[in-house]
Amino acid sequence: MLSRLSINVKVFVAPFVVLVLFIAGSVASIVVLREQGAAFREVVGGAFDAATTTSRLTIMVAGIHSDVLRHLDMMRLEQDPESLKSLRESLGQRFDQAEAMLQSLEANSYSLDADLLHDVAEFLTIYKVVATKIAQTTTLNPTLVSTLIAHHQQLEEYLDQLATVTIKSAKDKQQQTAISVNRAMNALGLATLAGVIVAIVATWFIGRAISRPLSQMTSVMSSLAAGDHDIAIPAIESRDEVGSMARAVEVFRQRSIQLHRRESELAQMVDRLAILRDRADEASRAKSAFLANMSHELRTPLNALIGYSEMLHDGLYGNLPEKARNPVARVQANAKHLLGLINNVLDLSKIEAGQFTLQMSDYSLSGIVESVVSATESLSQAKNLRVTIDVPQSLPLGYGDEQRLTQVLLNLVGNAIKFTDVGTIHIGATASDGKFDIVVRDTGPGIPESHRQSIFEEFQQVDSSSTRRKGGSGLGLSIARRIVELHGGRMYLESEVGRGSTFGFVLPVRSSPDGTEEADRAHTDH
Amino acid sequence: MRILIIEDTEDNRTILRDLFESVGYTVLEATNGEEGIASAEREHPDIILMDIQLPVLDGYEATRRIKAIPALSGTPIIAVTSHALSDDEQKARAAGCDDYVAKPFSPRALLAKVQQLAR
Repeated sequence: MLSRLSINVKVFVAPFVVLVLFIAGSVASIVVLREQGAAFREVVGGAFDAATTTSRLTIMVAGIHSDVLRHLDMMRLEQDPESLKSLRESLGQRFDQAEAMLQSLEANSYSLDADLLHDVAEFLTIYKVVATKIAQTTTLNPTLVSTLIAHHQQLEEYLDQLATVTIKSAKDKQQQTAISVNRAMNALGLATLAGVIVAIVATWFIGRAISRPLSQMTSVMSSLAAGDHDIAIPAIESRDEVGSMARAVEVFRQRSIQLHRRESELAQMVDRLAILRDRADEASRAKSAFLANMSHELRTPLNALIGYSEMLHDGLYGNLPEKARNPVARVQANAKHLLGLINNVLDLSKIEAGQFTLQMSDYSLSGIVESVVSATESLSQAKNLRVTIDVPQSLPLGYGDEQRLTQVLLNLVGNAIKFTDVGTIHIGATASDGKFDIVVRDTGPGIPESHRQSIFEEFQQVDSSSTRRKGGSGLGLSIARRIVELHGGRMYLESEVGRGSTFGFVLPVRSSPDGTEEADRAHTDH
Repeated sequence: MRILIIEDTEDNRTILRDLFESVGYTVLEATNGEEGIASAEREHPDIILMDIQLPVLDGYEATRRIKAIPALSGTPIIAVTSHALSDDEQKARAAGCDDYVAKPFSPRALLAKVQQLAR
């Protein structure tokens, strides 16, 4: 029940309970004090009053009796009738007083012995009658005197008894009151002790009712923070602040579980992706191996084609008829073209597999230009194109893969010749800031803006119609770009449609083999 | 001039035989590495053309073994390979080959290379 109350109420309840107990204690004290006061008044107003009145009555009776005896003595001496007269006059009044005292004793709420009172009253009346009679006579009547003495003795005895009774009663009452006060004090003390205990216990329970759910919640939150999501959250049904807190913690727990689930899903996904990546890598390796193998298998028959056709052309098998010379030359040219295509495919697959390594050595750029020009001489002459070269002899020695750089320049010059029908092919090279800048300019149709970026990508030519017209796989330029990039350089293109194009590449004079190795590792690591 | 051609593809053997016979060489033939070593030991050719991808024993190993025979250590060996990988030439030279020709070769260029080495 306690757990249902809000902390506000609990915090209010503890001092409230103490306050209530304090008020109850005070009320109880007042009641006890009032009771004791009443008892005290009873003792003072009852028993002590009775004892005092009895004493006064006794004294009064003794006074009357001594006056009567003195009067008798005077009568015997026949003296002082005057004093007899004053006695007579005062006697009635004194007896009235004694009787009033007796009545007040009878009227005392504190009941005395009724028989004794009755006896006292009876003897007082008789004594009064005898004493009054004596006071009215002037002659001594011995019978009357002896009656008076006898009655007085009896009355005194009764009064003595009455005094004893009333004093004893007063003492009893006093004792009773003392006991009752003690008892009341003990009861109050016990009640106070009980109140203190109740207050302490109530405070402790209330404090516990507040702190227990809080500490439970704290440990739950610590567990959650430590990653234990299976823990049950207590007091979730509770309608107090702790209940709200528990529900908030439950939301937190659910989110945490969700987060945990997502994390593990993510981890699983990462694992799956790693598996897929490994498969893809394996597939890529298989593809490379397949391509290398296919390349070898394709070269073997190609070798026979090129070998036989060249030997036919060279007249090794006797002079060819004039009509057969051109077809044999075409067979040879096509076989070489096919070889070029196979080499490109292989190069690209090696680049993609990260197996494309550069054979670094010193090279002469003018030497490369020379060999490219001589290799393409027959092509340019066949199309009647002018080839101009501007490569200073003062260029420094370069460091890189000579064969591959030759391949790059051969591709650019080959393309320039292929796409230019009329005009000039210009090859130029300069060196500045530790970099070579090599350009191949043609007077061909030019390349529209929209194609200048994609032309360096695989399988791209300006348009598919030109592919059909000019031939080519669209791989050469892409491979050339990759080779330049592996050297730490970049390729660029400037072109004006209808005027011509300039393909160029900038690369470090001394290429860093580290850079190329790093590029390779980046490939092979995945 | 006697030339030993170690080559497993018949077409290639024919091309090489036709080529070298056309310039008056005596052509000896073997179709795998072991056969080639035996033929070289028996015939002591002036020059050897060694295909690299061979059955039984590959060209690298055959070259190493021939070069290990004292009587044949001076005989020039030209590796002919259709391996497309860039370190083929280095591997061929490391095995002891004196020169290297990649397939597909130009018969004209190969003849020039052989004549230069055999001189």
